[in-house]
Amino acid sequence: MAEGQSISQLRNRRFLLLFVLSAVLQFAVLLTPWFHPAIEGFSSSLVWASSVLINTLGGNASHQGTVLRSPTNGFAVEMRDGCNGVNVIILLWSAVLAFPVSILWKSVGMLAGAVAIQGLNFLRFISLFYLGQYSLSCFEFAHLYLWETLILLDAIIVFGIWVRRASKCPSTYVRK
Amino acid sequence: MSESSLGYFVFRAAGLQIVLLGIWWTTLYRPSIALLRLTAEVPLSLLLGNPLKGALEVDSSSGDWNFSVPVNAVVKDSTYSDGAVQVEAIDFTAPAENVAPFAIGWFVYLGLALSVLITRDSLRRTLKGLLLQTAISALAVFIYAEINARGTLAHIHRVPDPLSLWLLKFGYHIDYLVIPYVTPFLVVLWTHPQWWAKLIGSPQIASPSHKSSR
Repeated sequence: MAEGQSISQLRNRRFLLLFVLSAVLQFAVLLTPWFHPAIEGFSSSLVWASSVLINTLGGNASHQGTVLRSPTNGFAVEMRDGCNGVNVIILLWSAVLAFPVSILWKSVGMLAGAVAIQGLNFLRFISLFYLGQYSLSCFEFAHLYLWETLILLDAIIVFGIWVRRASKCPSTYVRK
Repeated sequence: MSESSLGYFVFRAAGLQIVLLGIWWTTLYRPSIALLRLTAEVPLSLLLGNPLKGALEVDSSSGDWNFSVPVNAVVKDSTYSDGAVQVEAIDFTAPAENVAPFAIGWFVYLGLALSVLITRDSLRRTLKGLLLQTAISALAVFIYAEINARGTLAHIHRVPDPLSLWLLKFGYHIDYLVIPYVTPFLVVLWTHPQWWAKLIGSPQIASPSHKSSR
């Protein structure tokens, strides 16, 4: 029993260490100057997709780079670093990479996690675009606090569901 | 735990976040910033002890936070002078909304902690988590002050060191954009193991006190 507990504690510590190392490394790469154009391009493509979706569904929006604008009243919202969901993806990927499962399962977790986070982030960006036109105070609250928390909650739920699925399939585990 | 009870748990956790953050934004914004100031003064005065001036003063009319961070550095290639410049402290002002992200941790944590079954034991754990979250938020404000001061100092140099600038940017990113939002989740995972157990559908995890008595 005591031996089992100490093994479990060692595994937890190993997970925590790998999680922190992986997150630090990924954030370091994210913040390097030569990586910035890729992130800028990613944010621009998200803004372009938001604009396409809004116009397809009968709304009215134009885009320029990372800025989404309403031609009706001139309200504009910019997708800056930290608003594109990349921070949360890094945290989720770090947790997935630190978890002792096969590379295939890690890949599934990373891909599904990125899709889940970006899906919600897409909703977040479009909702903020409309909320900002209605009330700047509501926009600030939703932008800086509420959506940030909900997207992190989304990430941890996705990670939990992934762990649950991985646990049901013992062959996916890698023994260390 | 079935898929439907997982759905209920997730719905409850998300709903509590919306309710508690809504209460914070509409009624407890200013009191929480005042409480943050009180707690942040502990590490600021202990670690940045400036005998001439308080490390943090709040403007009563505007609510701005005025920091004074001792750096005691000599800048040999200053942009302001031909000779070396002695810099004792960096003073800067941050509007209250700039430090507000450090105050949400309490409410996010409470929303997460209350989304599991409420018992006397879980309330005790919640209190422990709130104390830990308070310490983390206060330390994060201290790091925020230190990074801003070091950043200002780096720009006094005629040619700022690129590595120092990058490290400050990295530190700022982690301290301002990651720590305030992530730590409530980490704290709840530590104080409430049943939170994680509910998510992954494993049998209820016994509390440490139960484990030790076996």
